[in-house]
Amino acid sequence: MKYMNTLLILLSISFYASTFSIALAKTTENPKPSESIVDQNTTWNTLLKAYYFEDKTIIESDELFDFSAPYRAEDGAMVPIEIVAKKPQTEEHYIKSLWIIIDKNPKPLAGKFKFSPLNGKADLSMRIRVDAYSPVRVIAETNENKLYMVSHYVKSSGGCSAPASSDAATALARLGKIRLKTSLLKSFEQPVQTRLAISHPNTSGLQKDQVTTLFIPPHYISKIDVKFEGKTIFSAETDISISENPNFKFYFVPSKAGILTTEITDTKGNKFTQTKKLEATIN
Amino acid sequence: MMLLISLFSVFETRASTTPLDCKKVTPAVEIQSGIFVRPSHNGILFKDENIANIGFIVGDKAIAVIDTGGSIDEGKRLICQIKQQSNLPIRYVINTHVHPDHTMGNSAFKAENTTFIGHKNLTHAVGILSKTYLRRYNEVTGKNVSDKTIITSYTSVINKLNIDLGNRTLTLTAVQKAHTNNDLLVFDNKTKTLWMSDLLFHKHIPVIGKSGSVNGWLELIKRLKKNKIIKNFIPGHGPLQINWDDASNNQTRYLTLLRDEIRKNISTESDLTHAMESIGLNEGSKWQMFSTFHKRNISYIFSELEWE
Repeated sequence: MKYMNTLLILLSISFYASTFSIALAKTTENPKPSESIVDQNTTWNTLLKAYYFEDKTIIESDELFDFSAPYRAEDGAMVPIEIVAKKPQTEEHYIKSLWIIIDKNPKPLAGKFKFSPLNGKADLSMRIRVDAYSPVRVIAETNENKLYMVSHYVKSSGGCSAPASSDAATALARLGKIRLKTSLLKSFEQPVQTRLAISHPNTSGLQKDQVTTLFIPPHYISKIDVKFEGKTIFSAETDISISENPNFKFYFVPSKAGILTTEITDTKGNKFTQTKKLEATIN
Repeated sequence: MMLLISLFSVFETRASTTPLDCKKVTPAVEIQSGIFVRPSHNGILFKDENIANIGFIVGDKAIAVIDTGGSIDEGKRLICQIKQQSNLPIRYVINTHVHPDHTMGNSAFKAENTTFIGHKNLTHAVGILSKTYLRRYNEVTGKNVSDKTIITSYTSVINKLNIDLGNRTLTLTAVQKAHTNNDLLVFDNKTKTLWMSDLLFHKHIPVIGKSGSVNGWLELIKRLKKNKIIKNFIPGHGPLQINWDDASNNQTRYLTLLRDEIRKNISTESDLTHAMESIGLNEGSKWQMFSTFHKRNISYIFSELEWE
């Protein structure tokens, strides 16, 4: 009987953990492994990796980029993260997309961001919602279809259900306002820092109305497209794990002066646009 | 004396599984005639008890409780502290705002047949937040306190409400967004004492709530500084012996600095991480609990101001 119980426990552990052997080794070492590496990565290993990447090989390495995220979130609804590429984007070798995945969020994929050699460097900053203690992963896909991953464990709670920072009426009044800023253009052929900020509540569907206490329907930005002189330089498909008032920092290399345009689409089909003239300040 | 109080608190916390002996509970401090405060010590939500200044005001006919502490045990100890002073009925429990260190002792007062009073936004705030608070409390303490203990029905203060305790009138004022969006000021007309709760932090770093507003909070303090009627002020956190001019100036200096520097950051680089890492570091030596709350203050204020 005792033996049966042990067997059942081991079977249930093996169901949750990625491989039986690792789980078994861990249990013998420490009967209550709280927040062990095995536990942290269980959702990824058993579910998410296959769901998003099938049986493709993902190399766990910071060879291509650094990724920083706070170990403990100050505000789970607004967790700043930053990716800094280690190699320039060239025609021969470049990062073509970055995936941001928060394992424990109701919808783990925060967004998929596309890059090209036009970016100069595939740096990216943004703010995300983290709903529970969870690994946050960045996966880079190269033009050679190779996948690289760096992950960090972030301690946070309630990021997806936290109430918005301003009331619905105020947020609606400025819905879709866009700020598009670039750093001073000192020379062509150098990456220019671009900041894209959109006023949008990006409601997750898990937040409650302050007055009725009923759930607010999800309403979030789903598509981002930024063009320079008609050519896409930055685009993304985004979901509810992006914080309210989305804010992105990225780079692109302008080969000449020109017009920067952005088009943002949300889940209600609203389209918001903004244009900015990029002039050289080169003497 | 403070050391003695904290020693007692440790003892009381440990003894919480055995029946509460009211005689062993440290009496509350009478800071003005009929106004009693159970002083706090600095601590972390859920993990520590007695982290907010809570207390009660005694009239000729009835008693009003002002905030109930961070756990049912803390609320029960407050009832002991009340009984040590008076046998008058506890007619009102006033919550100065929704935060758990001020409201989680509420259900200890259910049996006392009291009326619960709060800002008009309090009921909604409780509806949205209290279950989360309780879940976190149970996670951290390993206890299993039920949702059913949460008080959900309050008498709402829309603007002002006077309550009579018998030869003593308290004026309750619902204020605009400041520390949270559901702050209530309690003014004792008899001693001209303003129970500010978390609208005033003393030596403990000011902490802004997610629903609060730095602009609203600064505006409120500016208005109170012009008021010549109020004689005494009770802070929500920090020592009770207070010099109002110093305390209010310090709080205003800190909040103004954060507001101005964050605005500057938003208009130039708009970088939250950099804001959290670079703003207000000189304030570190001026406040207790700085490292626990400063960055979060910046994050919340950044959200408020980014699209103001």
